[in-house]
Amino acid sequence: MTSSHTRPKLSVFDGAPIRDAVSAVAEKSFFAIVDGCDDPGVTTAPFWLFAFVRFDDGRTSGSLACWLPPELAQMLFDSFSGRDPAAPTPPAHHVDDLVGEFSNMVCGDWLSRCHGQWAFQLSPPIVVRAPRPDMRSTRRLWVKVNDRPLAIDWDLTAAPESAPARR
Amino acid sequence: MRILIVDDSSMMRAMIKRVVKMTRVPVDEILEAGDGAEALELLEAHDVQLLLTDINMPVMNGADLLRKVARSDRYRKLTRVIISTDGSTQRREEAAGLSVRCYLKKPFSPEVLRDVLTHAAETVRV
Repeated sequence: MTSSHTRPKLSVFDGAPIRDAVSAVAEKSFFAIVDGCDDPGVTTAPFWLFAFVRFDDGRTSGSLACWLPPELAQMLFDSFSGRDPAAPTPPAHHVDDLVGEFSNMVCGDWLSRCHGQWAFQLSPPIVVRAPRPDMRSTRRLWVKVNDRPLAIDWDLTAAPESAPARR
Repeated sequence: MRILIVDDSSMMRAMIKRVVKMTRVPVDEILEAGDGAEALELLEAHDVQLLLTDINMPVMNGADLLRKVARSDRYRKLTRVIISTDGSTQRREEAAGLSVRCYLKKPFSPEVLRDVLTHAAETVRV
C-alpha cells in the first residue's frame, strides 16, 4: 500500500492521480487499456454520456465527472456484464447505471490514492446525455480507453491545505 | 446458504451475483437490495448467512446498515463483507469495529472477489 509520505496530493491542477485511477478501474474491472490522448479525434456521435459524482470527506469536498462517447460506454458495459456484442442492445438505464458506477469507482480510487486515511461520502452518480465536451478546455483530462476518447473534469470546493478539519 | 447483496448499482449487483455463481460455494438463494433500508427489511424477513454490502448508497448507507446489524443479537452469526470504492484507513478501522470479515475495495478483479467470497463462505460453515 502507498504510504502517506508518497501519496500524491488532491489537486485541481494535477491530473496524474486521476489518470492512474482511470487506469486501475479500466484494467481491473473492465479489462480495458488506458493510453494518453493528444487528439480525441472526430466522433459522429450526436451525444456523449456525462456522469457526475460529488464527494466529501469532511475536510475536502468536490466533484468528478466523466465524459464518454456512446461506443465507449457500450464497450465498457459489454466487458463488465459479459454481454455478447451481438445480443440486443441493453436498455439505456442499464448503460447509465454502468457509466455511473465507472465514474464512482474512478472518483473513489482517486480519493483513496490521494487521501487514503479519511473515509469519504460519494453522492449517487448523475448520468445525462450531453453534447460532446469542449476539447480546448485546459482543465480537462483526456485519455484513450481501448482507443476511444474519455474526458474527465474534476473540482475541489475546499482544498485540504486551506480547509479546517471537521473531524 | 442465503446471500444478500446490497449496492445501489444494479449492474454491480449483477456482476457480484455472476461471480458468486462462478465459485463452488453452495448457494440456496441470492437476495438483492439497493440500499441499507431495503437490506434491513430483507434481513428481517429471511435467514441470511452472508451479507455483501457497499458503503456509499442513498437512503441508508452501508456503514449505518452495519451499525444496526451490529446492535442486534439476532445477526451475531451473519458474516459481513464490505465491497466499496472507499479504501481509506478510517473506513477500514470502522469496519473492523463492526465485525466485518472482509473488506474488498473497488475496483477489483473477478478473481479477487471470488477468493473473498470463498473465504467468507468458509466462515459461514464454521
